[in-house]
Amino acid sequence: MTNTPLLELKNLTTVFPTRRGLVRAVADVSLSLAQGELLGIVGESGCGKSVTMLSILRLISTPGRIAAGQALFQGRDLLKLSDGAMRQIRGKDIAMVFQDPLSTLNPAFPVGEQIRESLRIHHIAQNHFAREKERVIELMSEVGISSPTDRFHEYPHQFSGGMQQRALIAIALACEPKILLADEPTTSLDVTIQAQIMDLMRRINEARGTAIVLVTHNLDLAAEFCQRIAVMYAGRLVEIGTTDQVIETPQHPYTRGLLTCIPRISAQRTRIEPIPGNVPDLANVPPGCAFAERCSEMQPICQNDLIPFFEIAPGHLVRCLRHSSATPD
Amino acid sequence: MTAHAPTRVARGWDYSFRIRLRLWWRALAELGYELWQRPVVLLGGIVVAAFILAAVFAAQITIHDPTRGTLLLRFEPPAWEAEGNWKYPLGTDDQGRDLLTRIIYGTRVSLAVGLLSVAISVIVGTALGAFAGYYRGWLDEILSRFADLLLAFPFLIFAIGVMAFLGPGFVNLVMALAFKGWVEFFRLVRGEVLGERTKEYVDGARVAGQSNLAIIVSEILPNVIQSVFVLGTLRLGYMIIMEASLSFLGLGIQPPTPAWGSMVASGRDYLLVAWWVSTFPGLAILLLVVAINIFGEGLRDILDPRLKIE
Repeated sequence: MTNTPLLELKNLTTVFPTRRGLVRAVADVSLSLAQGELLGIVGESGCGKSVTMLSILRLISTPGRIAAGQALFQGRDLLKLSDGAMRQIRGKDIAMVFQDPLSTLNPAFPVGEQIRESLRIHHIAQNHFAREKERVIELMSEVGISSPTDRFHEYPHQFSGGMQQRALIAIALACEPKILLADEPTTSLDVTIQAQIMDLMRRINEARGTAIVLVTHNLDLAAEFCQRIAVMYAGRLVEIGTTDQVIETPQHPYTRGLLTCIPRISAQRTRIEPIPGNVPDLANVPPGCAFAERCSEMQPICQNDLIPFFEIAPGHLVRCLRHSSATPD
Repeated sequence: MTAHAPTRVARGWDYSFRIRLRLWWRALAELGYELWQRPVVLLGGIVVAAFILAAVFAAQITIHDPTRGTLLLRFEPPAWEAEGNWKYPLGTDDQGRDLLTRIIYGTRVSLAVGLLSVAISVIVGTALGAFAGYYRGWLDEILSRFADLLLAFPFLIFAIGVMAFLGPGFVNLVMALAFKGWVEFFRLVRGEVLGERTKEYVDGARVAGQSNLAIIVSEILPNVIQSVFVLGTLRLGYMIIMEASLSFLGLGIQPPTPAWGSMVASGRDYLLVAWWVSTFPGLAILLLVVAINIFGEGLRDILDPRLKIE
């Protein structure tokens, strides 16, 4: 079981045709997720982390499309399933939590009804109302919504932001999915609530063995929560490894740049070092390393060819020629 | 039965039905309270309700025959006039038929045509608008251009044309009104669905494994249906005027069936000798349409949360 990953992305590529040309929002991403693993995907806005998540669920809206690659879930390629079979997987095996909880809840229905809806779609509890309601109330108390029996009939706008996010997590958990994709689940929440939500997700992971993919731009948050971290830049993975490997010995200049831009409270005030330059136009990514233009350690060779992954330690892969044991094979 | 063991048999459907009922009841009570705060709207509602009751119980509350009169009694003036007679409170028409009786029966035609044409417009317009707004593409393109085409015609002229083509009659009248009436609802629903479909709760529903049809029907439409309801009440008054106009022109409901429009038309020739024959049916149209519009706009103010904040 430990040998075969729960979810494996192989060379996943998602493109959006635009007037300026083909935007490769996700380019050749290969990743694997083991049963019960906590994986973080880190990168700045527009680097393709959310699109990767949506590609896994095949929710890329036209004209965007998944151009190449495989997404193997328990050995089955999700990209080859029929629409009906894919719907069976969404919500049941792979669930997702979005960034903005208020707009993700339907304003027209009570929160409890919306949690019940996900039980109903996948025929959990045999569409038996009393049983479903009982289950919803269990779920609501599990995610920490106080007095769930009363709050069952309340509408989304009557919930606070943190409670809305808890309700969304309850919806995602309703069918006991094997994978929870969390797309910036705490970005719209304040820091104390953020800590509570992350704590809740960790408890869910421990109690149920749900694998969680945390998508975030906050490297600190990912470092605290995840076992492995993947760093994305301009649609490509640039570094992947265990949290310790990535945080303690970052190999890619971009990862190092991200680490130095995190503000810290310490006796000594230090200026935050921004990464110079801008993200390349995704419709026109340079042939070599996409980060080359902004990189302080750039060599001429960086701009010529696509840099392959180097495995510099077991499980620690980096797309850079300047990694510490610099011996490109 | 012990005190601590309530034996509530929570059979699925039954239980959910009771909750639904309670939610409905609560919403209704809230609506009642809001109406009480707005006496004019409440009055409009009462007038509309009175017309509906009159239409339903027309046979019970009138004593005269609506279609057959006595020619000897033609042009009896209203009761308060010098030669008036309380047997004919609003007088009689050119064929000696009691005017009040005919107005009460005429309510049936106005309300039936109005409600039916609005109902068909709502169903067709909402369904097409929801699909066009959700799926976009060629379906939306075709329907929208067709809607634009229909909007280019003035309603009355369009209806006159259709009625001239189909011939007069109740069913044809409803069809003619609905044939153009759906466009308003189509445009409203299409626009709202266009706005709703990009909201994240739609993505959420998709992530949960819902099909497109289920998303349209059970996620998006409940967010849109309130504006449809409000537009429906406002269009009802307009449809009643259209029906009266067509009947006035002789293209709608044919005599001797009492319809307000044709009653106004038949009294037009005698306006100088018997003003009441045209005036009272005209006043009935005015009263019903104004009451519907006041009630409809009041409902809009109550139901639309955006207006409530101001």
